[in-house]
Amino acid sequence: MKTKFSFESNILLAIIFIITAVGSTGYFAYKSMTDIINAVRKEARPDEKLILLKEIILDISEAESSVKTYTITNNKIYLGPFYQSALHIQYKFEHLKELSKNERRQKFVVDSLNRLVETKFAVLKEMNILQENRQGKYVYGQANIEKQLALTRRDKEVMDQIRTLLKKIEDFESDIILRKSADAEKKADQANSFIIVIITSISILLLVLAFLIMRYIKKGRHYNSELRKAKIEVEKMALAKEAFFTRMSHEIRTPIHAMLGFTQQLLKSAPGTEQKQQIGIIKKSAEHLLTIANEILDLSKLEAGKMTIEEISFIPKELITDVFLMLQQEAESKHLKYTLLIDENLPHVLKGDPLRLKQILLNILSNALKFTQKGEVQLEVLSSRGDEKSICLTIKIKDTGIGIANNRLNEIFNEFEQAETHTSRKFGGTGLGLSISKKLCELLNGSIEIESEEGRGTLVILSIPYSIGEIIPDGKNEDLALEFEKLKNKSILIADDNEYNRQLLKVILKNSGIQYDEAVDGKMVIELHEKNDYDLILMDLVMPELGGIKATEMIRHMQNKKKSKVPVILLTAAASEEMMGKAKAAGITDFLNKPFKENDLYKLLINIFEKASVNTKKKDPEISFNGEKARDRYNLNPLLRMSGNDKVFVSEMTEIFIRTTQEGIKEIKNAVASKNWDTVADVAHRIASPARHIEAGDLLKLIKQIEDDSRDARNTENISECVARLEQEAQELISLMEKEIALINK
Amino acid sequence: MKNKNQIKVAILEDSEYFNKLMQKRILNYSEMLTYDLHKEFKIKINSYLTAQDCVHKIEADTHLVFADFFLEDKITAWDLLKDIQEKCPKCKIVIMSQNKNIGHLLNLVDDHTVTFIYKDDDAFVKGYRVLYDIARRI
Repeated sequence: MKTKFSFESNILLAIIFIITAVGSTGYFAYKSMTDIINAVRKEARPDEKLILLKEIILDISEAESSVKTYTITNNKIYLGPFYQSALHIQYKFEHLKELSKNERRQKFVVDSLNRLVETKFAVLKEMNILQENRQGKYVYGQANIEKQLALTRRDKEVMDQIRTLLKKIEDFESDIILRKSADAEKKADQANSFIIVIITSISILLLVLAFLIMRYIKKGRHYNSELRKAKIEVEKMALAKEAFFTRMSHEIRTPIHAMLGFTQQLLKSAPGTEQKQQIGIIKKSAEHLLTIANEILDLSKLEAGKMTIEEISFIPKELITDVFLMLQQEAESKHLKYTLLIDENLPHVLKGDPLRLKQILLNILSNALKFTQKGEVQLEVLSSRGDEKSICLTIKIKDTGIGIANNRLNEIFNEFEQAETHTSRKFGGTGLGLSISKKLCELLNGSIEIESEEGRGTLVILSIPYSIGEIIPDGKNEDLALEFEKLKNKSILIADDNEYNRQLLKVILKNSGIQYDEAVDGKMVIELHEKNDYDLILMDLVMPELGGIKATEMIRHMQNKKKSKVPVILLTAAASEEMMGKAKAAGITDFLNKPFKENDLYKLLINIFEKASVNTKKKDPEISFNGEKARDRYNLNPLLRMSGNDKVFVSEMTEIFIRTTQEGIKEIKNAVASKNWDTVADVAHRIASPARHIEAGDLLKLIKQIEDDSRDARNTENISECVARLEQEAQELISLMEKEIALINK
Repeated sequence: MKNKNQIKVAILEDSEYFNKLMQKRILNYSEMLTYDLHKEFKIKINSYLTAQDCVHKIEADTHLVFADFFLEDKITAWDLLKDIQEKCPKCKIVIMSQNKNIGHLLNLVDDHTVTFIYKDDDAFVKGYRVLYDIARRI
């Protein structure tokens, strides 16, 4: 910076100096040239004094000539020029004296000349008088002749003196001209010298300036070249850092997964209580290490700009509630007040990246819980409309924890920063979470703000824009005949590194009587699939160590033909088209997008097993009533599904449904008769839920109408008619159900 | 299976249909708990159709109560909280409802022993998580 300033100053000074020098030179040259030109112009003009002198000479000659002519002709008429010349000469001398008044010596000479000329004219006048005295006589007397000769001699002497003086004046004027010429020449020489000096100086300065500029450019080029080299170096280092982090994270995660896998196996082998506790500690430590490795990997991905953002529809309320519930246990273990407030105007479906939102929320909320020992942690979700198609999702996470000092607020988003140096020792963590969350927020075009007071608590505000997504069909209205028999005793391998996702799948599968094993990464999938025979693998797309696609590729290349052909369903939050292409190429059987509904999974499983089975062509008998299919009136699948196809249970439940519905209708009838509308509404409400559960749409519609009408005691005149229709609908339904139960029990 | 860890669960649901449905669901959880926690678990369920029955008969060593919010005769599970807690002070109470506002109401209660579960498609997973957390501490 200093060098740059100095160089610029030097250049500026040099330029100012050159401009001043050029200006001065120009001015001086102009002045000199003007003087010279004026001098030349002046010298080139005829000298007025000399002209006057010449004219005086001419006048004298004229006068002499006039006198001579008169002398010869004796005619006075020829004396006219004489008198005129005398008069002219007088005027001219006056002028001449005026011109010479400033030059003392010349003035003296002019005065002398004037006197001589006067003498001359006096002599000539005497000559004229002498002539007049001749009076026409041709012969002079001796005295006249002598007088004439004396006058002539006197005239000659005067004339000689006049000539001498004229010569003096001419010489004097020539001297002046010569002197002025010499002066002009001197000035011209001086001007030339000055111009040469200035031009030389300017040239030297320009050369210095050019040298400085060249040196600067050269230096600049050198610096640029160094900078380019440094940039390449930095980029190389960044790449190396990223590669290192990625490799390191994977390297760390590999043994961690092995630890997790084996601790799980050890726990399964049911060791003693003490060993279990120790293994449990190892497992927890491994899980903690895994979190750190994942955070480092995320950060390196974010810094390298390799974190991709998906655009899929998701249900925000479910996602936020899931996160809230995932951490509920921690809040309860600290006896914290733990609340979730969700804006009722929050759109049902949003479009964006649910995984990243979940990651941010989990991080902020777990931080709030981690740093709060007493009081409360509140998660509040607000939605403000942007336009018709978008909203701004604002999530406020408020805690009454240790808070952050004001001077540390700006630093906590820095990598590896925590509010205080002892924080990481006391509470653990890498200090990467907030940095990752902030970067993720920015990637989602959102923002994250923190308000905090040390010792009082912290408020984190997330604001993320989302477009409103399309309604995800829940499949309830689809005419889906779920054939749970085909699922029973199937063996499925669940592969997902997320414990919550695995748990969700386990609960769903368990209800259908499906046997399952779990794997937390692709490597474990391969190991387990080699040891066991699975009918299907539910494979997460993104898993540590070995992702879903790579694991599928390895399965497809297994020696054992049967194992290599196992159906694989890829579970993905949001696979890009490119990823889907890769997955298909790897041999994925089908896809299931997260978040998925129980029915979606069943539908897919049944379809796959149906295709795989050659002996399942036998169709279940179709139950109908007056030409209407039972499936159109109700659906026992939810019961079959949740009971793991327990027919006895389904039969018992159907019986309860029939009995409670019939009893309910009877109670409604009695209450209608006694116009006890509150009871009518309460009983209708009670029998509505089971009807909803078995998807008995028509029956439910009638029950709800009775409940609504009687709740406000309005349209009570129609209630009796409605109850009659309800009774008839229930009868038809019950008849169909009894037939179906009979068939199921067969 | 000797020395099985027993978890006592109470169900308070005035609909006989859902009461039975919940029993079935919760019984299914025992195998999952065993698998997840590597311990043998036996879930003992006491189910009640009325609030009065529940308050009178609930066992003091019950670990967990699943209660529907709206009960018959205009009684709500909210009204029973104090009575249940008196009878079994250590039990965790899960109140379930299809009305979201109940959740907001319950959030106002500064009581970590009470949890709200919104009855949606994932309610059974959430229920399992509560049970899992209790089982983990046994």
